[in-house]
Amino acid sequence: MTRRQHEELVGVLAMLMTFAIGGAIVAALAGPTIVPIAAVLGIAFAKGRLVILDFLELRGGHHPMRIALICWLSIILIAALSRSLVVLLLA
Amino acid sequence: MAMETSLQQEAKDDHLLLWILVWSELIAFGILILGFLVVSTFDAEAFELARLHLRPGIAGANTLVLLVSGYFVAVAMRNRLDLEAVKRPLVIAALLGFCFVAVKLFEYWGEVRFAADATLDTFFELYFIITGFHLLHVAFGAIALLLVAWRPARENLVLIATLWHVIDLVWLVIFPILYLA
Repeated sequence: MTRRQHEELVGVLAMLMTFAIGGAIVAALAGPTIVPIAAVLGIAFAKGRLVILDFLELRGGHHPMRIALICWLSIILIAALSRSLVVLLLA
Repeated sequence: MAMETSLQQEAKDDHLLLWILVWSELIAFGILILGFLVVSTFDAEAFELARLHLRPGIAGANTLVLLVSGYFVAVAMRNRLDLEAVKRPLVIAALLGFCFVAVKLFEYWGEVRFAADATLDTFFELYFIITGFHLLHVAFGAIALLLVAWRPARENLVLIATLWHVIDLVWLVIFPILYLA
């Protein structure tokens, strides 16, 4: 592993940690309203995308799995956001 | 030449099998999570009440443990041309995996009594199924990481690293849906 690769990987880990802590703080401080829920799910998407692109090494080239994995992530998180919207609308 | 082509074909087949395995996991977890979302829509009040009994701080700390573990597996993958250099990061990643399992079991210790509560049982049944299924994957993956660290081979490293990152990805989705959102 080159020095540059190592620095990039450490940078990705730092971003993931920041997102993880940030998401937890947003969830702890905010009530059950749609904006913080959307923020938490958006942060989860950002973390998942980094894992797919940098940990799974799918950033470079045209790997079909990159799109497929990001689609899986998006579908689940959009479903979670829709569920929260429906619950808030029905309440 | 013929042997080279045969080896390339074998590598391609291995890769296809790996992604079939990955997608079988993602589909299984996807169905479980979507099932949780559907049930929680119809029983929203009980689910909100049940969620108050969870400890998101401990689960958040466990998320950090899994992310750091994923980092060490990524380091091992970047070192895959030198198989001696993959051993240490894989062992560290496996130990962090076992740490995740220990913390999760500690978390279960405080939560298991709620599974018998009539108001909270639906949430906790789904919670234990989803997180328990994930926990088994982490435990199995950590053992596999140790085995690959003991006898490293490039194909096995690619296999376990991909699976470990997918387990990581699944947790990143489970955590906000079950605990926070």
